[in-house]
Amino acid sequence: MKVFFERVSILVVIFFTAISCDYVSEPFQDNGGGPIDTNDVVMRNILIEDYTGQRCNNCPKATDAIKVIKGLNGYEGRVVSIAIHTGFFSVPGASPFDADFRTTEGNTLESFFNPSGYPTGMVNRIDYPTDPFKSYTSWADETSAFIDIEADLSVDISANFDSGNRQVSISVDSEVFNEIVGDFNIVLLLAEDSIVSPQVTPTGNVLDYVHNYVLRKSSNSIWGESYINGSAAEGTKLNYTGTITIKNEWREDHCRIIAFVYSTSNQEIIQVNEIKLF
Amino acid sequence: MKKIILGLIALFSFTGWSQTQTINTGELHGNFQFDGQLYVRDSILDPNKEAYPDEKFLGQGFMNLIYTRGGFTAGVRYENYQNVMIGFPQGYRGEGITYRFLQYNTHGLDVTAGNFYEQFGSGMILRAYEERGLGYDNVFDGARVKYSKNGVTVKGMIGRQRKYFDKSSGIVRGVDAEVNLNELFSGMSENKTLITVGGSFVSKYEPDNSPIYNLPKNVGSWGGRVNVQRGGLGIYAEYVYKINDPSSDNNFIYRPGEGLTFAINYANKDFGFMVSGKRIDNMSYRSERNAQQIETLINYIPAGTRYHTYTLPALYPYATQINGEQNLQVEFTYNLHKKTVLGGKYGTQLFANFAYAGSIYKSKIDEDTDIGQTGTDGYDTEWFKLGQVKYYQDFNVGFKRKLNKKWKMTFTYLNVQYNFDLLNKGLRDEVMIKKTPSIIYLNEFVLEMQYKIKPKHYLRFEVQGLFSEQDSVGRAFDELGAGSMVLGLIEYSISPHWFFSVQNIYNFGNPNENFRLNYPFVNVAYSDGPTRIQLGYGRQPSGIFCVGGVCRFVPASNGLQMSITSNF
Repeated sequence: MKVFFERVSILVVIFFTAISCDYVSEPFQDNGGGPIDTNDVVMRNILIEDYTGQRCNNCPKATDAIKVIKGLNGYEGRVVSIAIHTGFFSVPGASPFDADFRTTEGNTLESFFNPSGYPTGMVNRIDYPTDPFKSYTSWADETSAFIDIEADLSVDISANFDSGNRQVSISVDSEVFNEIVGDFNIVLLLAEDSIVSPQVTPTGNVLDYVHNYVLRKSSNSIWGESYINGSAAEGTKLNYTGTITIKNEWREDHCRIIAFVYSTSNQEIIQVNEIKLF
Repeated sequence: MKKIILGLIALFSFTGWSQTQTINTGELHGNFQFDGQLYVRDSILDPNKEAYPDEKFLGQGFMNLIYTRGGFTAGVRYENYQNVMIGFPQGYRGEGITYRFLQYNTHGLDVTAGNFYEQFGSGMILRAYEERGLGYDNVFDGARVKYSKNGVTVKGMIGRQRKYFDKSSGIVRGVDAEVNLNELFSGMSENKTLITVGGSFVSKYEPDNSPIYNLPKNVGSWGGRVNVQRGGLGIYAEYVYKINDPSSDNNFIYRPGEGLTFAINYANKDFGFMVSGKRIDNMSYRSERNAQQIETLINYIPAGTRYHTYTLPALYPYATQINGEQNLQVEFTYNLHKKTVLGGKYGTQLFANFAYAGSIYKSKIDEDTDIGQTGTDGYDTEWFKLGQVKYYQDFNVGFKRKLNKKWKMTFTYLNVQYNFDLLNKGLRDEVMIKKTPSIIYLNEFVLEMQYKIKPKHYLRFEVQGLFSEQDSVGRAFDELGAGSMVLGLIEYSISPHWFFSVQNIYNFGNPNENFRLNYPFVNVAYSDGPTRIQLGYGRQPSGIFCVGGVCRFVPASNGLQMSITSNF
């Protein structure tokens, strides 16, 4: 018995000593860690797809999380976001919640990826199909995983708006920096900012809530079109063009174009970029 | 590990599984379950097709196989979700071996490699368990060693937790020791007072990938407990503490967590009494700090309110609040003797239960910092001050009585106060402190009658009523759920094989006239030994399904349900 207790005591002491507790003292926050020296290398950008709805009271927290991420040191211009209004919380209700931000594209994405619980979102669509949806509280962590990674290709967007037919002509140029193997599609999206419309929040209904980066339309279906078929060698230059017509009720001066390239096998987005129309 | 699984499957394959098989001196046991639903489009109940999946039929199930030979045990579980049924966590998609272990036990030493469930004390710093009705499974995958001798039990474990078909990114390590003083000290072996004491230490490791916060990679927690029994009296108390653990649950505050729970109970043949309570402060403890809902919880906070099994009372259950809670529960049972004026010819049991749950008291840490503000110490609190927000209150009273040789009855009355803002909308204390939260007041009754037609033939009837009143700040009912409803149920069972039931809920008090619906449901089941097959058809209202204070939302649905269970 004595030997038993001695042995157990030794084991317990070793255990307690080996597994220390990390007490954190102030400052608790470190704001991104500072600018990254990229030496003019094109870095991999990050797309956060925010699944949301105007009747989801916690969804504004996800929006706030994106604002914080975009404002971190070294993250400026690296993070693109899009608000996809889908599911139960985006179904128009009685006034004042009668706005309908749902889209065919968003509904298609919802059916395919099947989010559970709002708000939720995907960061570059990693971990598909096992665990693509991430809590908004982890978006910063997931984003940080890409912040030091060089891109395999560039996505440079140019766009012209024809006010006569309200059509945007979009051109995307890419250069491959490292050989890419696999099949990849390119998707062009239109998003609208600064839409003032009611939103349920944790503190109550906010009638003049400002909705940003709301998905409106895609140029070429939400799944896009083939951009790399099989492989693309280093130095390959690619171009893709498409058009999107802006509805009369959408304000072109608050619209932006988002383009991204993703793997058709695992859905992961390998590069994304955006420009404002005006 | 794949080779081990293949080996086990090969070992099992020649045995078949229709009944217990003996392999030399070993034994093979197992169980199987399948649940499925054919969803019927119901445009009134579900105008937005939330409960009408593209697949139209969803089915899920599992099979456990456990092989034992002497001190050796091995087991596997196969699960399939094709696809996961509506209302269950959507992370369960696919199929595969989700549980496998090898275990041996010799001379008090118990070693497990692979998956294992475990609990330290009441579970407030570590409990891994499975509750299939909730889709809850936080089993560990790793190694565990237990040693028991002379009233002393020591456990050590390390592992990762299950997260659907994946594993948590965090690693959990823990030790626990429990001493039965009456067994350890010979001088106490004859003592009528039985005393057990225990202590635990648990630590989790998770990398810090946050660009926003400086996060602790190792978060330790510890606790101590004592259990005293003498005759019909039992006393249990446990205290736990956890260091700074900013997470999605607590809005990334750095305040340490702590919890105290106690229970005193006494029972003799006529009278039973129980009082229990707890104070929980910031005790969410997960192996992934950004996990949600029921994912990767390391600990379990015991429920502190009565769990109602009748259908209507179960529509408004209380979910234990891991971020903070003060809770007190008192329960009495009293048996009126048979052949007395009050007790009647066969005796009567009276029961009463009262439970209260509310927030702990919270105040600002300084003038410039809001309560619960992210990236701070969060809040200050006082142990002996009532919290600002009421979460839930339940007073229920009733009796059970056998009327004659044919009839038995049970009657229950419930008065419930239910914080809709917390329990349905998930608002935090800091929000509810600033405004008056929405409380639903419920008066409910349940009358249950059982009638014995003849040997092996029984009828059972239920009449239930749920009457909902306006909330404390006079908001419109339509923000507050479904309103008043009544239920009627008739069951007919022919032992041991057949079971039939017809039930209807009428939601006559729904504030929206379009939703004043009937929810009829019929059920038939056939049992043959260890196998039961059940079919049900009809509408089911939305509700919150809870087990042990852990809950999930179940949307309203219409369709044909089926279930098969079997064991051998």
